[in-house]
Amino acid sequence: MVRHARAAVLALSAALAAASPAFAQWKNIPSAPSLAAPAPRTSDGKPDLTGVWQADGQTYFFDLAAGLKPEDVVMLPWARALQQQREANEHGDDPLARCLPHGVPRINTNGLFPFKIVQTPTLVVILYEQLNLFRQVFLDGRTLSGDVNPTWLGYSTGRWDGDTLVVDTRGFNDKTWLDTRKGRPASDALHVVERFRRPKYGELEIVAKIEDPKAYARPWTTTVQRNHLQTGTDLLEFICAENEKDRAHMK
Amino acid sequence: MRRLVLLAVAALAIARPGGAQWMNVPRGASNVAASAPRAADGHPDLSGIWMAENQRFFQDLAAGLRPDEVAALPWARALSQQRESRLHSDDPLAHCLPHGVPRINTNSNFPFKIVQTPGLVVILYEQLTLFRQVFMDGRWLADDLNPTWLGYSTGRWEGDSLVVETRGFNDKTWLDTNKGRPATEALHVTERFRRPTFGTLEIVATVDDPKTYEKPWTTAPQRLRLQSGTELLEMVCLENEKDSSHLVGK
Repeated sequence: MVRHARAAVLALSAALAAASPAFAQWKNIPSAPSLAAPAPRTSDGKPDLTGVWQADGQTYFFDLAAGLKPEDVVMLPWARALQQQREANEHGDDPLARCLPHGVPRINTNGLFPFKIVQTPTLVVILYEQLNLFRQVFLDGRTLSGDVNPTWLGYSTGRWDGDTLVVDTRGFNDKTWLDTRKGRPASDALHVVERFRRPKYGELEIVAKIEDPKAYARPWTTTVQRNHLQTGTDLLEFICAENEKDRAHMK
Repeated sequence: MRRLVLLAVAALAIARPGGAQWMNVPRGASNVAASAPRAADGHPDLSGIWMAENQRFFQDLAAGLRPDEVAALPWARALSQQRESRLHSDDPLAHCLPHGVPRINTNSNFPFKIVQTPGLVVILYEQLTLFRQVFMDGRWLADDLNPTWLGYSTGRWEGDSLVVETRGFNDKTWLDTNKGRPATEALHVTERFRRPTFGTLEIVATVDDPKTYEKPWTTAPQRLRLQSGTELLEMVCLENEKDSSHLVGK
């Protein structure tokens, strides 16, 4: 029974909207070439990451440390206790189950909802279908001030390292869940480095580094998260607060 | 009481702090009276952070029009009046639900940002953290759509104006806040965006909804100003939300 309840809550967190319908909204969408072709390039010679992407599965959404050894991710005692409490509480505290943002880098990992990258030379916008969120990644030379409002999704700057877009994000609140089944916490000292690479036309790789000295004994880095290009479709409108019936049933 | 509710709807997040999150932000042209910049394809570049000049069109989308220009059908007039008599407590925006189009452009308490690329214009809205995509890649809408709060938008250039057509709405749209004008699923909005100077954006919206209005009507020009040296803030409406339980109306 407990297992069933937990599975149900997890499924709820994962899906939120069961009714993600078919996507025949648009006709005459420009078609993509072979997905095995090389990544396209922008006029400034950088790889163009623009496109609709979706995680290969739920692996990292559930466990951001998937594929790592236990000793790679060393939580401080308070963080471990909180993580265990979240599991014991059957994930009923997950912000995502209350229509609140996923946090970073969890926001990239849900294999049930696509996101869209819109790349310009000085600004990369990422639009997320789930909860209808967006992030801005600034590549115009700006720097973050020392005193920022804490946020769910942080403040992001980017730079190119060869063919990899490296995104630095700071300025988080202390409510981040790094993943869903594990419920790993983070503090307001969290600094996430996401490395986005498009090895071929149809594929996007993300590697995320977690640095949070208040929560983890040392920085740790995920294994390679694969995402697939979603062709012939686009993001749907997702309004979590509309007719929301779940919250009342969660402990 | 009514003014209080309107104020709550207009502001939603009272605590809007200063915009000092970023340093070394590249300076745009210092002369906001200069001409609009151009994109590489020669079209005006509407990119930038914009905010309505005031609350005029947010409160009354028909501001500046004669009464006979906006002829609501009887059911729509009755619904408007009911919304006013219920002190606007049913406004979706007061319940963290989207503004609808074109109201989403009109709130002068929150900026929005236009990101223009040749095939796609993205509009990011601070209030409620919403976004719209305006497709300019030749696609068109299917006939059978999921109804949505913000519709499905395609765009084209007419001279220096970006003309955005939006359809596929649900029937919950409030076209404006004080007046609470309704619309149906038949709503078709045409927004014309123009940047007459570097620092000014002009929007003119045509509301075409034969199930609600006897004839299409077009707003007076809405003026918006470029917001320099600032950025959108994260707004998460449902976080610690305490208002909606008090919005009981009559």
